[in-house]
Amino acid sequence: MRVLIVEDKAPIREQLASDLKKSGFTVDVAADGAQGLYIATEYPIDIAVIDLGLPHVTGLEIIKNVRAKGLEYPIVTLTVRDRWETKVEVLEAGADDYLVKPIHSEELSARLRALLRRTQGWTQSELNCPPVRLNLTEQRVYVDDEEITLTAYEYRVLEHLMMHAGQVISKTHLTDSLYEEDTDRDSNVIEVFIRRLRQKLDKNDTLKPIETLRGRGYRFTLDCHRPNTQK
Amino acid sequence: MMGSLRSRQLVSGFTIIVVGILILGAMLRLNIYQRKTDAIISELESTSYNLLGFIEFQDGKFQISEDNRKEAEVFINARQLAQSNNKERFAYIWSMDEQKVVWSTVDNELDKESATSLFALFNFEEIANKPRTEPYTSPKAQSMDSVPPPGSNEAPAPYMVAAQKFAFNLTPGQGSDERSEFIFIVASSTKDVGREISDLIMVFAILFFVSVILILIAQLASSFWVVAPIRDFEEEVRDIENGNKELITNEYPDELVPIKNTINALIGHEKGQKQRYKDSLDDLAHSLKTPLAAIQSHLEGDHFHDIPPDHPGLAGVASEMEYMQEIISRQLRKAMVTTDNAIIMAQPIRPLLTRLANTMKKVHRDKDFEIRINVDEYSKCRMDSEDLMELFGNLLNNACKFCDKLVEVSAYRDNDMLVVDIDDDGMGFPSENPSKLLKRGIREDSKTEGQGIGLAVSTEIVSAVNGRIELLVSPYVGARVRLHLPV
Repeated sequence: MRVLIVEDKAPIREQLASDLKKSGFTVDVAADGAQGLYIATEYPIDIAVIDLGLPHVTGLEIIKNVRAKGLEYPIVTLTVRDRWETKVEVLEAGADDYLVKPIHSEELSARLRALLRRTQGWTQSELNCPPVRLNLTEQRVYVDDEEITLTAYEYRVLEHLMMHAGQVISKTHLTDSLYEEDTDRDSNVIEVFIRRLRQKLDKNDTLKPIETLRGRGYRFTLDCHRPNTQK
Repeated sequence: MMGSLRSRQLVSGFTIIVVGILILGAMLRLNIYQRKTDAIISELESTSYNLLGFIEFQDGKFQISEDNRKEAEVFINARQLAQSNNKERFAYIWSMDEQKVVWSTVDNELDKESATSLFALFNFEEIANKPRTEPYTSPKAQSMDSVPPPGSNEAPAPYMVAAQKFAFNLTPGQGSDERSEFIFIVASSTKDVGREISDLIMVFAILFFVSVILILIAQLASSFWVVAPIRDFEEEVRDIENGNKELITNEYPDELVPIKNTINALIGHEKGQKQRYKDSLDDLAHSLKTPLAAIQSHLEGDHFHDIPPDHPGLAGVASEMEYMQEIISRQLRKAMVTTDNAIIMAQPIRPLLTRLANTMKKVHRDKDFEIRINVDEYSKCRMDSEDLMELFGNLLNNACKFCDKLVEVSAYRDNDMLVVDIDDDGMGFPSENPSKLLKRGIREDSKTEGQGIGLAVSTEIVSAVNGRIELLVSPYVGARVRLHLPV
């Protein structure tokens, strides 16, 4: 999952970035509003963390711009202003959550995960597509209640596919959500991850959980328990 | 009495009118009297002059010659000189030697008694001794009082008298040089003049009285008209006080415009002051909290990687910082609460509640519950909008957090307060001593960070505007927070 952090205070920004990376996110950072707005509207990010008090372009303006462009990824705002007036204003502008500084990284990443699965209609922190179960908080995967050991990248690919179960995810999108912008990409890597995932999840080759649509991407095909399907 | 502008206006107007009318009346009376006496004087003088022309002295007595008798009669009748029954108008010649009337318009030969019954007598000595300033001019009329005959109980009466003194030798050519003195009197009673004038004065007095009443009525009417803008102004200021308006916007007469501008400026100043205060507090919050958050990031960061997280020094610093943050936010909330302020607009709480309800659905999106807003748009309360948002935000958030399926907000008017109930169907307040929840710092739900002060902040906001907050049991057996807010 690719997250954008827009925060002008360097220590906080760096701290959040490194903590979120540790908990498995791909992180983009912006130090001011203008840069933040550019990344927020031009890059294929999955979720954004935006500080409200930014130089040049305020956090509120970024949110309004993002929503005006029809982008619907979840946005979490950070602020020192602990007033309902601000909360209401921000949430009405299109933000999805609101955190008052100081922020604890664990709380932030928990909120981000909750928002990500919620926007895909998941209400529990476990994605249950029998026989595959993926626990978002523990970052563990089970098949028939048996834990499967995955590498960090394999996990991220599976998480992304399962989160958007039923939807076609392009290879570029997967790459984008795995790597930061400036890293060298090799789209073959995705194919390798997919192949390994198929082997690990489907040892007998009977389940066929991941479907390849030639030229378009991949799709997670198993039926999932998803009470509030939005998309 | 002088408390109101209208009474001041009425009293001053009334005084001026009454004094003015009194002065005018006195002047008018003098003027009328002057004119009236002037008319009588000139009439008497001409009568005296003309009548004397008819009279001749023949055979030792005064008489009107045969030739002129007819003419003289007409003249006497025309001048009403023969009607002496009331001693009103008459003419006679008084002989100073004989001390009797020797000729009159009524009869020539009169004894003393009938003369006194027909005519008023005057102080002839005085007339006779009066030095003649202009010897050959026509007689001068002047007012004088009659001299009642001795022994009678008549009072002296006012007369206008044209008296002419003349003297000649009764027996010319007999060697005697003695000249007899006569006084020719033409008199008209001015008793009637006085009465006429007082009649006239009476008429005028009635006219004046009526006009005073009319003027007063007019004044009263005009005072209503004049005072009307002031009353409108007062009404508008009261509207602002009641929070129905923000500024004085109506058009007023020129005299009220400076007051209007001053009041508007004052309101603007007051608002600006409040805004500046809030802004500077906000800045303070920002400038204090941001470095604190940064310090916290440093502490959690890689620079302290080698130090175990339960290092006593580090843990102490961290907990002190958390304490500092809590103090800052608590004091800021407290300071942000707007105190009772006359110039706050009353605003409907429904739009605000709807906004908050939408926000709450977003904040508590994991929960499946309903928020019912049973508040109409007439439910208004006079509080700062930010405070209202904070108050209802905190209370609704608590309700949403603790409810099972339902949060309900209802409002009704009770005398001069707006009563708002925030109900939920959760577990309700602890039965023992729920009021301690209203005190700051006691967390209702220790699991959720920073939310326990919600009720305490609400209490502060409500008590700052002289409202009241109660913790009750809702009809859904959950918690009910009842607010009494100023209208």
